[in-house]
Amino acid sequence: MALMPKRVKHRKVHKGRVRRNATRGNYVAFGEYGLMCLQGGWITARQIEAGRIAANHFLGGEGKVRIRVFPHKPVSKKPAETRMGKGKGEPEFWVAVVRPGTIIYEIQGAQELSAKTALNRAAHKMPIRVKMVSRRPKV
Amino acid sequence: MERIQLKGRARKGHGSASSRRARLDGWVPANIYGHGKANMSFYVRHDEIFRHITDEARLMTIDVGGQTDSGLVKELQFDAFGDQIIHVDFTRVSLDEIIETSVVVHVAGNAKGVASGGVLDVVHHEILVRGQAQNIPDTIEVDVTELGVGDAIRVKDLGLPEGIEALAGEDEPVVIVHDRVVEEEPTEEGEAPEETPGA
Repeated sequence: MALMPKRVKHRKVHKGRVRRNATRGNYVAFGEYGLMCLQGGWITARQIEAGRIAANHFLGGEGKVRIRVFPHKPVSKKPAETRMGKGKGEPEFWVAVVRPGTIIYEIQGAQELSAKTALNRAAHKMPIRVKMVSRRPKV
Repeated sequence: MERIQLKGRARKGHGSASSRRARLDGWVPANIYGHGKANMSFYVRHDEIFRHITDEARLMTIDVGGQTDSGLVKELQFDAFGDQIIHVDFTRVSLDEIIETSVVVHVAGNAKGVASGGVLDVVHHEILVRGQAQNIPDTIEVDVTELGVGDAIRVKDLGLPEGIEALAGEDEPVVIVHDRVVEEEPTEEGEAPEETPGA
């Protein structure tokens, strides 16, 4: 089942704009390797789920895949063959808003080659350009 | 820790504009402070400091226009993508001074437990240690080849050099091999989220 909030304050929200680079959630925090966005945009709950399944399917239980983004934003859509007006459409799906630099997935406990291939499988499900990254040096 | 020689250039201008210009020319703004001496601002070459930092070197001898100081990397700032260091803070240390710093844990080998269906979990990627600056290792190597499912390497098993003590509890696990947990796929379709009443 795709991710979605259990409870929201407002059913419909404005479109908004994705500006500037990520200043949080932009480093590998839990695992050893991660998938980082190179562009800003929206990733739908279905795409997140498809990427997770693709990565987990390749790993076959070798490591643990963590999802670092959550689709908080509802996207509404007007029904087909409807005249304009009569108010905003009904919420249709959920998206995670990502900025350049955001980590989408992390893999923990897998060998580098397996993690790289698994993240590559997940990357094919993404609507934006992404790259694989490893942990940053820390002090 | 191995002592790394780092050549710096004194900083003339301060502020974001001059720092940005320096970064475009391949320099990283840096500071060194501590030991009751005046703070010093300088630039270091990005490729040089990045190489040392990725090699896990933290203790460096910094030479800025003939003035030499031993500095321990205190803080690192990266850009949004983690490709570039944008600022480094050093704190002055004497080589025989007792310091507390974190040391990176390097996992070596393939665990037996992973081959038989376990998942390797590195609980601590860094360990906080205390000891003389010159004796603190750059990395701690952990050999996991003998680990089976359910086995762990704990802080007391790390084999730290003499005079270096870990500040974490000695029974704290560093690396564990867990049993593999198979995720259950939920089959029910999700319902629309509830709207907070009165919002």
